[in-house]
Amino acid sequence: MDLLSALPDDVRSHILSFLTTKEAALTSVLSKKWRYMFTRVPVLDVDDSDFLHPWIFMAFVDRVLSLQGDSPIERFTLKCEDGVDPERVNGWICNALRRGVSELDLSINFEDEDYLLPREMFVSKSLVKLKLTSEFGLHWCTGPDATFLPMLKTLHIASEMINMDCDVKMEKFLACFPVLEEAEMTSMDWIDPVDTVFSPTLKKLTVHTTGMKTIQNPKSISFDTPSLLFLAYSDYAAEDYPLVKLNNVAVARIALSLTEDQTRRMRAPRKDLSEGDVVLQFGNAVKLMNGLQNVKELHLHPDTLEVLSQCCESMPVFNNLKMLIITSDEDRGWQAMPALLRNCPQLEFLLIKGLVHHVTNQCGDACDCIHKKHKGRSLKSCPVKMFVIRGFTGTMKEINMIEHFLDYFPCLKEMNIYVEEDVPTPLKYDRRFTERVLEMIEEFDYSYNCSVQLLYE
Amino acid sequence: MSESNKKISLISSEGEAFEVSEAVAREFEIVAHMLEDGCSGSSIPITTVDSNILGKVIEYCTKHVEVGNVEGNSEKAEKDLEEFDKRFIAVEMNTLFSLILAANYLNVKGLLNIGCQKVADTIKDMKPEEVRSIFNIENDYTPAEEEVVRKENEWAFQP
Repeated sequence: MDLLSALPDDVRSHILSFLTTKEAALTSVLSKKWRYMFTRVPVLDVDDSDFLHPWIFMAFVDRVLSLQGDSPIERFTLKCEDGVDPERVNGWICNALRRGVSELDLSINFEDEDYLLPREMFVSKSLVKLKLTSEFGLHWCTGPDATFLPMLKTLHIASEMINMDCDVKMEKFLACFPVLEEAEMTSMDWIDPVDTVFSPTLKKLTVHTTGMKTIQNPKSISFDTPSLLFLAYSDYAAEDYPLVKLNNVAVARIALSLTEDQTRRMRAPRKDLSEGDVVLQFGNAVKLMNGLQNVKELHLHPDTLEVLSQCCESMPVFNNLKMLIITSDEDRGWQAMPALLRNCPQLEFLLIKGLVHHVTNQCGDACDCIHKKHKGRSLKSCPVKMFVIRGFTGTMKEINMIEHFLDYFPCLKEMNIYVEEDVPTPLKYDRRFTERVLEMIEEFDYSYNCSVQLLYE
Repeated sequence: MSESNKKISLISSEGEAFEVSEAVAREFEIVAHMLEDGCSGSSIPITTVDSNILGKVIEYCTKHVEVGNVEGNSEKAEKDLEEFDKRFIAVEMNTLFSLILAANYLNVKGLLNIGCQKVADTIKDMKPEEVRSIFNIENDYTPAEEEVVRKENEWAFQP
């Protein structure tokens, strides 16, 4: 029995909505019942790379649009590059906008810097989700008051934005989307080194700045986003964070970057720095951490650890923090580790990717790099139960550190040590080396009141 | 949390009663509407769905309500739910279509989506001839008619 064709029309159309329009069009030949089914799908999902020539692609899109007529459309997903006529593209976008499209996902790779997206797109009353991707950059519609998307809930921009309304600051830009809940901007720059991320409705925010246009370190960044639950923030360390309203953030990923030279200057004695050196301001990162005090899950990047070394004394207590995830780097230090571990009284899960770090004179407490009287002090008060180590390479330095953790973490029940595919180590090819390492791990597993396992990804 | 631990009986086409919490029954939008329209009866007949399928739909909704109520690590919960969905929908064709029809009738959006997605994934990358044979679709075009349709959408049929 033909159960597929027997399904109600709207269900068949729903099935086809999970296919690209080209795939859906192929069903026209199945039987008479399927001939025009694909034209009733309220979706247009097309990619020029699925077609032999740009002109075939354009003819196909034109034909589908004419068959769809004026029927409402929910989503328009377009991927195209040079060879496709920009004016035709804008005509398609306007067609979808006229038919009340709520979701636009445009990946447009035109090398021509003069290409402009249609103005209508920036004032649509029906758009709920907008995703823009481009290798070459796109212009955000220019001119004052040219943007207002009253229904927009999700905005993803994975493209450099050229002339983003000339000089619109983030603060004013976000005000163009009064009901925005999710924003992802992965290739942006602060137009002004003093700016505020302001939105009363935003719940999820991912910002990744490139620092290409402005002077690298922003002067002052504020977050006034009281509804935010998730924050992924990657930027050059700012000189100040005067206002941070992130009280509801439960998950935060923070990557504050430094240049090599800044890192070197930060580790140098204070007296060697010239007055007004930007690195003297980096201790203000504590204001960002203060604003994130209620997080449950915190991810920190190696540079962030280095920046936080400037404010160990004033580190806030993270009373709700259950999961701490640290990415470490052999050229970055752990000066902030003891303060962090001391200030997470509810910590259950700790993940460290890469145990090997740059040894500084602050080492010797959380790690055992140098001999210190207060060895392990910060670990003793930490209630962590589960510890995951990633990127293990099997060196004696790492094994000694593991033993140090086992000695001092009082509540540890489980330690999983992962050998990863993308991290080179003799553990992948040298059998005798591996056997020796395994023996030591088994010895730990046997002698400590904590399960210790070596795992391969 | 919802206001009550009230139980509701859903009656399958064979007359078998399935007792579920109100929260689970509300996952069936059709039931949610009935409750909102003041239908206060504690047993609701689902005449077009048999016991086997109704049981499965309830299993699906129960899992989704459970996970929705758990606080904490949302990323992990989402992954678990995805895994559950994947296993749940890996069924033979007849059951799959019965689930889709039931989800459509009862208006369980999540289940309808994973069911339709599953069918779409099967069709994807298949030649029309293969789709016909897998789903037993009878080709009622004459060769000449089929040629016309191919010609109509010739751009889609090119590699």
